[in-house]
Amino acid sequence: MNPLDWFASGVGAHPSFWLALGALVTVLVAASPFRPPRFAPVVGIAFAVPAVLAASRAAPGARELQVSGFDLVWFRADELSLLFALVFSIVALLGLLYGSHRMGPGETVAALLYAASAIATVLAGDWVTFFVFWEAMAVTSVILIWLGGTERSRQAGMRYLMVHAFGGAVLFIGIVLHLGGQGAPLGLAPLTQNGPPFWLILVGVGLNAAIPPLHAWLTDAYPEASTSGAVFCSAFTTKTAVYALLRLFPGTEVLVPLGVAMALYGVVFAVIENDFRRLLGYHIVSQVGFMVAGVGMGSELALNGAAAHAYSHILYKALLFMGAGALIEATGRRRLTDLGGTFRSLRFAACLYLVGALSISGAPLFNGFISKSMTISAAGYGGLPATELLLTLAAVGTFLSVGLKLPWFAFFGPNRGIPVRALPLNLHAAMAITGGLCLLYGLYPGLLYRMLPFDAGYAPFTADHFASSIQLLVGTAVVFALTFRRLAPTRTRNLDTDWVYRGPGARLGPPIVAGLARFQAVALALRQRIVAAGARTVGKAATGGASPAASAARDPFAFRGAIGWTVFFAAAGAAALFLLS
Amino acid sequence: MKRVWVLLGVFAAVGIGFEAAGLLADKEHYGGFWNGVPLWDLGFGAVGGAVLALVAKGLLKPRIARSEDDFDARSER
Repeated sequence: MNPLDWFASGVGAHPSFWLALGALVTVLVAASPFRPPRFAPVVGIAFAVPAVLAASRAAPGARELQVSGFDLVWFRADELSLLFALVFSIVALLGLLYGSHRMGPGETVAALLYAASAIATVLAGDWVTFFVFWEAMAVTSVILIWLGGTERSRQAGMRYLMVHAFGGAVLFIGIVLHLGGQGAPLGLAPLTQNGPPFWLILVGVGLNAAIPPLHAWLTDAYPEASTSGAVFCSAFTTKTAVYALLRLFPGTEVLVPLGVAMALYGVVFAVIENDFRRLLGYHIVSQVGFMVAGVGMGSELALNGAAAHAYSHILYKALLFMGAGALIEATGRRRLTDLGGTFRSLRFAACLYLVGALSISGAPLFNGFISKSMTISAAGYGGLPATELLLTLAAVGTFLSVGLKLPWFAFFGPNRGIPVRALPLNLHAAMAITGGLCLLYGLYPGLLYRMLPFDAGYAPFTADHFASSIQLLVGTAVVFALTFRRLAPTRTRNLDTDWVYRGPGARLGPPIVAGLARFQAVALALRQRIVAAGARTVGKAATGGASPAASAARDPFAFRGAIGWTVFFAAAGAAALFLLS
Repeated sequence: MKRVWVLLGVFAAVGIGFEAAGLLADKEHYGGFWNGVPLWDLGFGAVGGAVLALVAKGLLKPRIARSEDDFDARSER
């Protein structure tokens, strides 16, 4: 038996197994007296390699496990899930290599578990497994945000957790109603529009996909993550949501206008953004918009386009965040207004950033060229000319802000004499490999196309496609060259929909907490009366001899913390909706 | 001013070059009528970029731009 075949069978076929094992080994080594310096990322890389092998060797099929009477499909491999599992594994490996000069055990474990959760979500075949790992992603990713190490990252992480707890509660209610109220099977399958469960699940998934106005958690939190944490964050959460949309909502027409709105919303905000990692965050919103629109169109070409663009996007966005992290590590600055003239000192990193910028802009011979145009073409062939036109406009905005504005003001603008630290070899190696993959798939699109879920033929290398792409880029570049002074960033912060919970919502916080505290006191008093009445009736001391006050003081009924309230609201909401539906 | 003329020269050269090359190759005609308009993509890139810049910098930014510590200042109040 070929040793590699072992990766195609048994538990070894699941990439998450290797990543979780890597996290466990990291914890054990960290707890042991023998702790070599910088061991954690090395252990992570050592276990990420078999994860990539497992994802690339896994054969289609399903494996089940019976838990409490439920047949849980912990591993369902088909073209769609394996495509995402493979690229998630690759980015996990590259992210660990990128951050290996600075990642400690905590960050390595969080990154490994985050990647494992994302892969387990896309390989889940049932709602229970899917939801468990979906939520695990939120918990593990927030650690990477907190590891930004600033007060801003701590606060952004709390907001991130709060928003995802809300999204998780909405998804949970939807799943409960879908399974309980409608008696649907446990297996994941495309949903039909038949009432509240459909919309609740769509909102829960849409929040993770960063569909406006539910997107602000992304542009709030990702710029605050550690430099390597942002690479992981850019890859997993939103793209797992794209996978869920592809799996559950193909052909849902409302996603087409939502996707187009996302694509344009992201680029407009990116044009005026000063923090370059937030700028890239807005471009996650924009690029995921292409995928969401493709899912909504529902044709084989559009669904292939959404899946292919997710694959390409994960690679070039990881490269762009690596480039942004390299700038931060070399200069200690994160605003475009503080940068300029760094190209001479950061030639290699800047050139690799430009590979990512050309990829996201859809320049010929880069991977964005072979995936973005699939969705735009699908709109044209599908009789949606306005969608085609607006998505092309979003592509113009992408090149304007990521391909021209960011590199100009960061690398080529006026030299400010910024001191630049030398970057480590591992960082350059990770960027070079990621950039190489962007070029590889751009030059040999068949490598990607043969992994797609449908056999819809698409030929990207036509003379017309080449000519139109280059014309589009040159037209945009000429306008930038004429107007770049007007596009210069300013030291301001732009309000977004997070204003709702950071502005008026923040002022509502204390009264709400006070109200909940009063509600808790009333509930506790009521419970004590019920317990006391029950004790009198039964004739025994239900409080174990202690006074009611002392009993209440150690009562676990006191809900504290966001998770407890989330479960409470989820259960209350599920009950209310179940009665209404 | 010289820079503007150089850029416009590049613009024109690319447009004419690609349209001439396009005569030698089959065009993909799908979606809107504009896919058959000569120099459409070159013009769309320029006009689209200008429109996005105008909307973002001219219309949106004056309404949503705040000082960098706006939220921090709010929470302290």
